[in-house]
Amino acid sequence: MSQNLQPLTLGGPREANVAALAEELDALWQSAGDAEGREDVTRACALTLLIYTESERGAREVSNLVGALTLQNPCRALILVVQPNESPAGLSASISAVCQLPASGVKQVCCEHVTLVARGERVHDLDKVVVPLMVSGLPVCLWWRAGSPLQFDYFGKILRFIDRLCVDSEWYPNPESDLPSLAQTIQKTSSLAAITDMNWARVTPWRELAAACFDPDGMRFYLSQINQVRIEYRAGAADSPPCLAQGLLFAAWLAARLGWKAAGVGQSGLEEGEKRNGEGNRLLTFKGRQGDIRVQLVPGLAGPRCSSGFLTIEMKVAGDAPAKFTLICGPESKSVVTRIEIPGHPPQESTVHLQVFDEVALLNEELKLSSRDRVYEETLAMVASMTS
Amino acid sequence: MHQTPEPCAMVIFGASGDLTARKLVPALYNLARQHMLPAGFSVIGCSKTKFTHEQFRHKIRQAVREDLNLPDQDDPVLDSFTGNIHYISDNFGDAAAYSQLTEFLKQLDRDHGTSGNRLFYLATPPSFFPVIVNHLGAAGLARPKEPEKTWSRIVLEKPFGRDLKSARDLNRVVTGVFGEQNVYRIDHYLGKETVQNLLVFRLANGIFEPVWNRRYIDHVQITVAEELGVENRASYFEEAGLFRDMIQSHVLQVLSLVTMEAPARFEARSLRDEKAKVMRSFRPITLEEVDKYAVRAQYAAGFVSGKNVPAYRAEPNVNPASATETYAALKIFIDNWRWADVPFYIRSGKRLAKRVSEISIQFRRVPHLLFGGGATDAIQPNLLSLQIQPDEGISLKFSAKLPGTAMQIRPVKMQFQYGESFGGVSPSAYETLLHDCMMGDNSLFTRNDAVEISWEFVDPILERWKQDGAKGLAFYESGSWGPAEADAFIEGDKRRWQRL
Repeated sequence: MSQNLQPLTLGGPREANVAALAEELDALWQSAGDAEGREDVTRACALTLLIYTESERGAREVSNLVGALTLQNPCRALILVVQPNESPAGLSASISAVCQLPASGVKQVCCEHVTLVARGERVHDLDKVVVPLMVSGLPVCLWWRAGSPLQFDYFGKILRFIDRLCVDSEWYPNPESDLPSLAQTIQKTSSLAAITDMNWARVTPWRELAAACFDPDGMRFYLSQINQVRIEYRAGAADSPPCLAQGLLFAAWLAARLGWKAAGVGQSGLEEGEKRNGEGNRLLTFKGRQGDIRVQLVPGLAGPRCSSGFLTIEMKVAGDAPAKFTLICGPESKSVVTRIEIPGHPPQESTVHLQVFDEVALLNEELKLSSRDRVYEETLAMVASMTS
Repeated sequence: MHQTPEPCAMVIFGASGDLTARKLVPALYNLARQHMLPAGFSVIGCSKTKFTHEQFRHKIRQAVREDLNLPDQDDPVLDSFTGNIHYISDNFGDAAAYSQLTEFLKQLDRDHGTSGNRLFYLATPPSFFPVIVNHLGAAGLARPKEPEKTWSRIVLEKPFGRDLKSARDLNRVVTGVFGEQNVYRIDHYLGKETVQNLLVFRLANGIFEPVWNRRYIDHVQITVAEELGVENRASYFEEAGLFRDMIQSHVLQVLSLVTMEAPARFEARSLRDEKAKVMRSFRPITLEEVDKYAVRAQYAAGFVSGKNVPAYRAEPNVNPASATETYAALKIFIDNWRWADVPFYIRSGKRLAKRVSEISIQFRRVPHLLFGGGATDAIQPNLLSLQIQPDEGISLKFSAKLPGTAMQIRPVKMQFQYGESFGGVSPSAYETLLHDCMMGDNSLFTRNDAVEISWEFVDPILERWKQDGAKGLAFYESGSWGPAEADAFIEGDKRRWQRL
């Protein structure tokens, strides 16, 4: 990144009157333009980004992220701190501008940033403040930065006005019930917003690498023969939740693309050692055209060697024509080793770069999309069918 | 260089009211500051309320300072301007009052050189229009003795009648006394820059007019939304309702400017002929078809501009069982070659999510989408938006490729705003329109035939709603974008209201 793309907050956030936020924003830009040396401030906006959080701390974290986010996605960012159980009930707001540090002779491009705090009963009035602040004619994205499910009682009206709802299933405390709930939400809102999942973007490089194993001549045959899959996902640690959701999404993606039917979930059938390994062990069974398929989900301790959600993914063909396709999180935290083992052939191994996105990069990726992600929706439906 | 009108005197009936203080006098003062008023220009305020000349001037000075946010310091222009403001307190329902007015005007001609030119402005409730007009006629103030040298014009504030019959009656009286060419039916919407610019935009640019038709345009939406409720106009509003207050007047006029054919010349008669012509092409809506083409609703309690607000029926001076609509949505078709089968969706309401007036012209999708997969889903139709208020401007939405190797498409917006592009402050609609009145240019004023055509179109809708009373009246939460019925109304055509 060049120096001129560093974010810079134009003055600290200032308290604003909720009743006249649009006017307050105009005044903010007026004062930015009038300030000495800031004659060339340009107010840029390509979308309205609503960010749902449930705490002031969350809002502060988001506030730091928004500056970086606006470098690629100039937007009007509305950070919504929603606290229905707090008192006293009320709505308060603050506004600020975030700018790119300009190169010499170049206009300074700035975005606006509104934080709205709704407490108690006032959460039900949030739509009356938020909807008028959406920039007309441009896409609106709601980033649900919380593990709780979408609150239809006070977000239902806002949903009517958004184009994209972006969740992060990594935040979900119980992915096996929360992901199916999300699938239901998608059905409920299908005529309204497209829903995407930042966790899906984390799984995407692994999906690409898994699919690439079957691209060479002669490999496609094995795809329909896969009957054992072992997914070792990163177990939870003090500073990070377990990546079970990513494991479920990968398994469901494979099942949905290969036309498998979910047959059951549980621990029966696992080796005794795997059962003892912890609660994260799952055995998923499917019916495929060629017979039964077993998919094991196993938590593993990643340590410092892999910052990805997966440690290893093995796809095996057992039987007359055995084969094994393995993806291993490499010794460097940003690489993956892919290995293809077929009897009678020397093992093929290669190491490829694995791009691990941070939260801002993930959201930037999501914001590039503006249509529904059918593959994700089918995957989620498969998760629901796997876990029901 | 500005054109300065001929010397004249302006008589405002209903001068003690809000309109005079909040709109007319600040507009006149701004004209004075820009040297756009003639030398000796004088104003006579007329009303029943008792004021001396000096008391009235004091009220006007305060109103101008407040409205224009002027500093409380010596302002020689304001002093000079208000020095030429006078006041007559009388009952203008009586003939005697007009003798006094006549004498006063003659005195102004002598003292200030107003040359016998008169501009009468009726800022009164419409029920007074015929009385005042007839008295002006009887007093000889409507037809100057030397019409080739001097003029008498009259300005009427809307509503111009409350149905076709009353509009025809009013037109008969006013045109009978003054002659249609001297009648200025004012609609402040038509004085706004964007509305005037509509014609420039359409007819001074080569690229828009060729696509301004059914072949390229999918549909048009016109939204006039207010955050305010009925405020202190409950008595008037209970009688009029939103449909008369906004749609019959402002919105249909704006629609006619969007849809009319290019006039032969940019002058009043040609413009007004074309407006009337397109209005005659509005497909009539019969009593039986009203539910298919229109939705009406009333605001319930809610939350607007950071505060709780009451339901319309709980507002002071409103009937607790009122069936008056505060929101209306309408679908209009124009049966002519240019617009056949293109729907025009109109919505207007009080206590909506935000104050905004906008014309949105949505173009048809491209005939063949060649970009694959998700990229195709992301392509949205082009949208041309003409913003009338609060920020006057024009924007065009189109699709652009996101930087990168993948074919990802996102809608972006090209924006022109008066305030930013031209700097300075646009004249208020009243400045433009009052100046036009004095100049004798009635291009932006509504002609009698257009008024009658619009009433002819809306009468069946109003009649049906009157018959139905509260039956079929929908409700919407204050601070929302209107009732669910209005969403269903447009979604039934597989379209959505623009997000404004």
